[in-house]
Amino acid sequence: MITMLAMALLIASLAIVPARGGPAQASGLYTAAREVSPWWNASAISGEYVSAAAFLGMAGLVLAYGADMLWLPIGAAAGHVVLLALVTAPLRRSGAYTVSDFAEWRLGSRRARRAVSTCVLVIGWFYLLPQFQGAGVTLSVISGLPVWTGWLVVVAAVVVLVLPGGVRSITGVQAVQFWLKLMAVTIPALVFIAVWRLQNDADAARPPYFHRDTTVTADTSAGIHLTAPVAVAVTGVLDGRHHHGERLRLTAGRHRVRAGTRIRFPAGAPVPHTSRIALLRGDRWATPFAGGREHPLAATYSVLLATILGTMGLPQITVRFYTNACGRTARRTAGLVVLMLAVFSLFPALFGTLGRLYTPELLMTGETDATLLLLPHRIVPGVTGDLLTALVATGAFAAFTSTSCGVVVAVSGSIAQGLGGGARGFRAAVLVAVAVPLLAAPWACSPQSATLVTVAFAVAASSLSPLLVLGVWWRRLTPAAATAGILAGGVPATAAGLARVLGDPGPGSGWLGALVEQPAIVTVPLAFAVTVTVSLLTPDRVPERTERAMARMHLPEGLGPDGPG
Amino acid sequence: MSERVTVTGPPSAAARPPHRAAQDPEGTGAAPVRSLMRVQAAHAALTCAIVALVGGGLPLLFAWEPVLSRIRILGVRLPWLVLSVVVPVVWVAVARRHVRLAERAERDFAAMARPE
Repeated sequence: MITMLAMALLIASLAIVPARGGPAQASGLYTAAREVSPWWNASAISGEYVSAAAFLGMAGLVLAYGADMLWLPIGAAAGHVVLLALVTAPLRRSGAYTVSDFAEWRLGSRRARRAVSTCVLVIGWFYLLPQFQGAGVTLSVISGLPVWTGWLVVVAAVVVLVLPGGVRSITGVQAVQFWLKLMAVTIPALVFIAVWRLQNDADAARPPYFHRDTTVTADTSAGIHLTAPVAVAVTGVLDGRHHHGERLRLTAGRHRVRAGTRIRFPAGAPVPHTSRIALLRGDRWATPFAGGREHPLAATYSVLLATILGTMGLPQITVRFYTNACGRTARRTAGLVVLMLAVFSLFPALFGTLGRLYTPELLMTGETDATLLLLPHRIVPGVTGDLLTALVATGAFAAFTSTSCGVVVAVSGSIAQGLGGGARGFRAAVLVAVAVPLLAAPWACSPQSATLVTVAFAVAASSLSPLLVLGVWWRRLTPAAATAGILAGGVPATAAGLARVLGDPGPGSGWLGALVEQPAIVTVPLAFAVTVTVSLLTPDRVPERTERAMARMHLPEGLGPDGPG
Repeated sequence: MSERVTVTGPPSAAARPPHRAAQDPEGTGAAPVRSLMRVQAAHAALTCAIVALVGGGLPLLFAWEPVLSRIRILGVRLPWLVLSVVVPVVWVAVARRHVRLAERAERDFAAMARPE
């Protein structure tokens, strides 16, 4: 029933596409004909930005880790404020479509362009991975299909939406999908608030517990941790012993559950936690920096730095402003994006809190991305729950398709030149952009899509933000310095990201572990320092056209040295 | 960079016809460009400073004063209310303010460069 409904809505949301599909000319593949109004373009940017990670993942992170995760959406919205203040209008006036084009235009260097394109590709891969993850979780929750079917759905969506029409065909879809996503969180939120019986003890001073009899099925083999003994009924393999539904008493401490095992917990029993998620009593969960992580303040600053400066380096965001008519409308667009994302920041706290009450078993399975998808049925069972689940699933589908398409188009636009250019180069680039995350998806071990997204932000902040900020505002930037800065920040951030994505059970402890988890606090200052230092050491390599480039970027259209346009 | 000759002519240098300016990189009206850039940079710096103050200050505040986390307004703990409602509103206000100031600076520049 739910599956049918969700599928119907998904198809309906996709049906908009053919109407907007443009011709497959190379120019049409890259740009949406510069006629998009600020409001429409802001909807498209926000639509792209509210990815599977933001839509599904944030609620899950709040459910698992509490108040400390609220900094993430704040940093994301602040990132657009900084983007607006430092980059938007000058970048639009430069006439560059991608960051790669900007690097080549501003610095006149093919090498800098190649370094930037490599970064864009890496960022795109890191950004696509969580979209695959979100798609897998969504499909497995609403229809019980294996997670890889979700990955194939993303690939299919990208191939169908991007290959024929490029940006032209996705702008409208993304704008519509933003409002679809907003509806898909607002309507459930209003219903939940109305029916929520205000059993508001999510932050009582006790660990999370099952509010009703709950059967939990382990999807993967995992270690779980129990704080108090509990009487359960088990079907499957627990601690190496086979059980067939008999009741037994689980002692406090660690247990191993094999995939497919079902455990029935009575109401009031404490929720076991997967070994990946630290157990938090309610009051610690609700208090910032009390979550038992190491160096929580440094980790928070690192996340803020990565999201605030990383936003400008996300390829799919910067290319969007090219579709504005001029620098002024690009700036207005960025202002509207801040407004739209601010509205979205309301929801993680609400859904995370509700998830703590109604879907606590996710702490045991670790699949916290499923929070928003499971909530409707727990809070309002019956047909209303079905309808809301279908709505949320549609929003989730919109989230991972629009973000994936946006990222793929932007990445392809950046690297297509290196693959022969033109429509063929673009299509080859699309395949490169999608294939790597698809192959990496089975190896990625972090089950939380929003955590994976922070990796992309950290790489973007550590590599492309110095180029953009200094390229726009500092006359002394040299090509060698830009390349050096990209390498100095991008390489360690990428290495930390790979360790994070592929390493199980996760990075080590202490400062090193904290840095691998959130490297931006070191890599971003490093990248800026290297860029500035090398620039000052190579003063004779300042591009001759710098002064004209500055004038073109900062003067309103029609007053600059290159005339109107 | 240092050997470049700075043109310190009157602001009307920017009012030259675009094609002449394009042929003559030294005559792009460097002085008015620099003055507009300075104004825009000052606005951008202030906007970023506000973001840095809020984003840098709030974590410190909550870390130093755990008491704040126990205050409840309408049943919601203060940090939750601040982080999911107040701060986003601040961002929207800062963004609006920046758009207004940047557009005003450009209007002033255009009026100066092209006195009608």
